[in-house]
Amino acid sequence: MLAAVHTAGRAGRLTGVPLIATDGRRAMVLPLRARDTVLGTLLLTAAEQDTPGSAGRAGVGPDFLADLADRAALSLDNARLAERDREVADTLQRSLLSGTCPQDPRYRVVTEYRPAVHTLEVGGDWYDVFATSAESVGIVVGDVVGRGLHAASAMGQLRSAVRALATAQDGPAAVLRHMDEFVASFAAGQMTTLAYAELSLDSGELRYACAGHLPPLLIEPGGVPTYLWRARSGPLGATAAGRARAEASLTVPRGSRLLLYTDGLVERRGERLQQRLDRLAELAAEHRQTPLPALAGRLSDAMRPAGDDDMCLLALDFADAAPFRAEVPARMSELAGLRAALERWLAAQGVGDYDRFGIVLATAEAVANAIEHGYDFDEGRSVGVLAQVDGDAVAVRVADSGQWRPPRSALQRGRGLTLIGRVMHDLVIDRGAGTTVLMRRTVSPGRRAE
Amino acid sequence: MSGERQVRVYCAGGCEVVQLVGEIDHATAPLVERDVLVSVRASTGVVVDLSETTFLDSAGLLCLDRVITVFSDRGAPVRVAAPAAGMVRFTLDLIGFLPGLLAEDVPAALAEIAV
Repeated sequence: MLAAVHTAGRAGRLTGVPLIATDGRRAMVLPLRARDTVLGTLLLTAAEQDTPGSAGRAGVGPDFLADLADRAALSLDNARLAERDREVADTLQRSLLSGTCPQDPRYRVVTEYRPAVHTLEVGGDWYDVFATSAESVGIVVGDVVGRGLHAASAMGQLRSAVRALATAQDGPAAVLRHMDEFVASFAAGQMTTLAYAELSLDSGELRYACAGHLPPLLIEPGGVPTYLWRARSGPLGATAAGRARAEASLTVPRGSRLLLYTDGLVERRGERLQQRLDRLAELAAEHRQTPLPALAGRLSDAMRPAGDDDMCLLALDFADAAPFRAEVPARMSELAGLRAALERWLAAQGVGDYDRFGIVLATAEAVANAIEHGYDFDEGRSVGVLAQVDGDAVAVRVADSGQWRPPRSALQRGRGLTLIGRVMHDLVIDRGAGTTVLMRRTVSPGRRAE
Repeated sequence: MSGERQVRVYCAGGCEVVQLVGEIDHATAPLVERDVLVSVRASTGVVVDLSETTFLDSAGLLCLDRVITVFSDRGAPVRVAAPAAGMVRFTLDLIGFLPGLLAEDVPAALAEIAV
């Protein structure tokens, strides 16, 4: 039956097929036609069985119903076209945003992009991460004015331009100046806003500039999240806005986290922007310990973006360096090598002289204790050492799997432990299967100064 | 790692100066202690010079403690030379080494105990 309607509809002959529903109501099947195809059928059923009162609706004739079906078909077709554009734009947007993030143990990045949900169009928000030299990484988040395919393709061009221009060693302000020139010669992209930051992975120097964009949020270990409000200038290519491109720099400690985002994350109708920024800072503080991979999604969920704009979020963790690990054979002659290796590692973390020396001393004492009292000089065994920077402290774990024997000589008793206790601020000795010594030393704030 | 060449002994200002070189730790301290005790007569005064010592742990401290006890028992005044800014001094301070026995360097130590 419906197939017959389709066939007739395509031929343009049939406007409707009257039916009687099983309960006796009158019904009619109409083809939904648009652009020479039948999208579907429209089944209309009378509201109630024929009664004398329904005679007043006698004016609803076949032509009216055919017209209704045509209008419905047109609307449906438009919606489908819009949806397809949206899908194309969304695919384009996502493909432009995809790409490999540089792999470097010194930092990690996670990103989140969400298209607007309340409008059918995709925007031109973007993020990017790229190495600007062997020792530095550039991160950018930007927002192209406009929606749909045009915005998405313009975004792709601008994203590539930033990437290409930022490889030069000029710094953020120069990158923005180059971007102004690029936008001036390019038909799209005017009024694009972007935040660009470059982090030196050795010194922790962070240089940044914001062209009409919301400020990056910096979360230092143990610190209150802080918006980076300096280095502001107008959007790209904006003649009315300040074109003198400013940049600012500061040194961020290892373990810091940096958030770049677009306005879709924070702007909500009826709420003041400052409140929303405060909220984001609060959430960033709450999620300080959230591992990076989960962070972007959780922050985005918790901010409950309004959904009438697309949003993207980029979070970068400036990594505390990889932990120090060693398996030390249970021989006192191994201590010198362990000390030298640990010393080098601590120096690479920027730990200052006395802190470094104290930590090396305490660790070597704990290992010597394990060799002597845990293993009784059994050279076939080994002692595990793990050292990690943890916020503003260095934590060390020394573990053996031996059977603790009390010191033989009263003179030796506890001397090493006394030293450990004086050097380290926290000390936990766990004697279960083997002995594990956990110790921490808070290192002076200047430890990471260049 | 062995204790040889870690101990140098010479005479200065009528006293014996024992220079401990390098790292005095659990591995080397027993040998260093033996070498010091057999090579120092400790008849007049002794300066234990730690200015060339790069590391001292609890075994090194124990070694130092023992040789000082032996020399004192022989009736010789003893001083330990360790620069104030050095890492060895850091360890000595940690353990609460007697400040009266400490001197900044060998000349200062000799000046205190010279006959």
